[in-house]
Amino acid sequence: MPPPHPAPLPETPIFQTPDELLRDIFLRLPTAADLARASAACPSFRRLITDHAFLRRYRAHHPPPLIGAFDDSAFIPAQPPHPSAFAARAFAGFDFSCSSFLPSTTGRTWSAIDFLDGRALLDGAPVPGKGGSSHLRYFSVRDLAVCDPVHGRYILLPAVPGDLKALVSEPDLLHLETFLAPGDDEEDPLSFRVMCLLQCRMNLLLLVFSSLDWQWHSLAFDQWSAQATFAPLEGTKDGLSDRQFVHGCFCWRFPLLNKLVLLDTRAMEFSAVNLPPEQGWSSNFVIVEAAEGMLGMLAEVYDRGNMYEPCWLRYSILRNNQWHLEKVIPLPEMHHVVLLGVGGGYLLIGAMYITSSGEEVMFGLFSVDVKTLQVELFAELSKIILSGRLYAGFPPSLCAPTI
Amino acid sequence: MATREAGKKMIMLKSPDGMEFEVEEAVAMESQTIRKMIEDDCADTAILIPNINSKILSRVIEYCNKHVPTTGATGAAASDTVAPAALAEDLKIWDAEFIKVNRATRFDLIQAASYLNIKGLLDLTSQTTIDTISDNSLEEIRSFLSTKNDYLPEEEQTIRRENQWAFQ
Repeated sequence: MPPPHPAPLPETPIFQTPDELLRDIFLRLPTAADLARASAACPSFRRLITDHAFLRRYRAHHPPPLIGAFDDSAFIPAQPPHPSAFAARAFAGFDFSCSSFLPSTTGRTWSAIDFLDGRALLDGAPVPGKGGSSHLRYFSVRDLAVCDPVHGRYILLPAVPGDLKALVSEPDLLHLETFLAPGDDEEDPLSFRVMCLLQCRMNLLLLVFSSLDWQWHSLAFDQWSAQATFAPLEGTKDGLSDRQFVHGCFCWRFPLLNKLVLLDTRAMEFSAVNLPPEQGWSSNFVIVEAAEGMLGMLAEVYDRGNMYEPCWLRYSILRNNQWHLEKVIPLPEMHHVVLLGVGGGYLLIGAMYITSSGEEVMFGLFSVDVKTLQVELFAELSKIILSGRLYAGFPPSLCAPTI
Repeated sequence: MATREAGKKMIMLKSPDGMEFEVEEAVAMESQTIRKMIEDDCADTAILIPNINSKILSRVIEYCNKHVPTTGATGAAASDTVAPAALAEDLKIWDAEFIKVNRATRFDLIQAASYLNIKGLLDLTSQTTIDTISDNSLEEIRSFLSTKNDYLPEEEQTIRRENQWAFQ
């Protein structure tokens, strides 16, 4: 028999208010377009959704969609029926350049060199004069700005201090690469880092600016110096290339040793893993996020190595330091395939293709979903594109400030 | 309401409006909140569920009864002869029928599922709302969620323009 006074449930978990329940439901909405539709339904939904804290939570749960790619200065947005086309439409006429709000300094031009997590990194370099400018000179005199293109905000970074600059000497510097990185504090949505990778003949140096302490720090990769003692780099083609961001790590190819060099942005440690032997000669692959924190690789393979022959993608996963082939993805009727990069959960490829209806030859961008490996037409093009920078982000009306 | 069977531990759930529901412990433990209480020995044989009226509580119990994993002779005893895929399909059809309720009831069910921490029920009740927002026009979303469009006319215009990209 039950006792006369039944035990009530403990105080926690407490009943959620209708607003909290609604927020939980909105957090489950799969796309930015769904979020926009819900916010248009009534003012109370809009108030909940456009709240900056909510937008940041949503962003933490859902990676921003791939909007399109920059080809030189032109922006190529996703086109219907691609699922990203909705969000891409929200960017119609959007000014990515940040030139409207950045201070104009005479003799300097600002140009965007990287985009990450709703921020743009711009460098303001002096207009090249006579005699050209070397890597080192450029490194010493340029300004760097981090911008929020949606909210029109910017931060000018302090110059790299002299003692850090002194670590690099002119004849040694082969390549310079500057890019945005997630902040030190994962809990703080406004924290970010800017990294500067300096590849020298005898050492590899990383300079890191953190928005938390407003300082530049340096980090060296020892394995580089070790290998450099017997085979110093002679040209840029030997060095690290094709930076990508996977599972909180930046990774670069290192063709000279047929390795992938990784930089863990949390532990701030360099490491290296072997690439499959057959990848040595080919530059046509990208690293993607596989399940359970593993690294995946999508590599392009041509029949008989001929660009005019049909091609396909090979999907491999790194398990126990070995690359295992998981799947082969045919790219029917595609030729001249170029892997442009990975963003918003897609690999974007440029290709010449033959329409299903018949003989017509077209140019286009195709997306490969890195989870499902499904291939879809992303955008039609009037010409072939050989390189492009991907842009993934939420539509302007659904972005909380990032700086 | 469940009937007492030999060898099964029963739990009494009480709603604030005084109704009592006798359910198998395994059914009640579909709720992680109740499971924790039982495991921590906080529950004797009766548990008062605050703020969930008898109408909603009986529906929640109906859901848990259907979803409690069947082992041996319990529940849908025929499971030995039915393929798991067919069972899953049957559950899906049952769920779809179960969730055909009005807005107020659906919201009460979401709140109950959230409080009692019944993941399956929370997913089911939230998903219908999510599907509605994903697949319908603004007017249909408003009517499904019974939200009033209390935007001022000029406000509505701005909102529509700002979010035009999200509609077909």
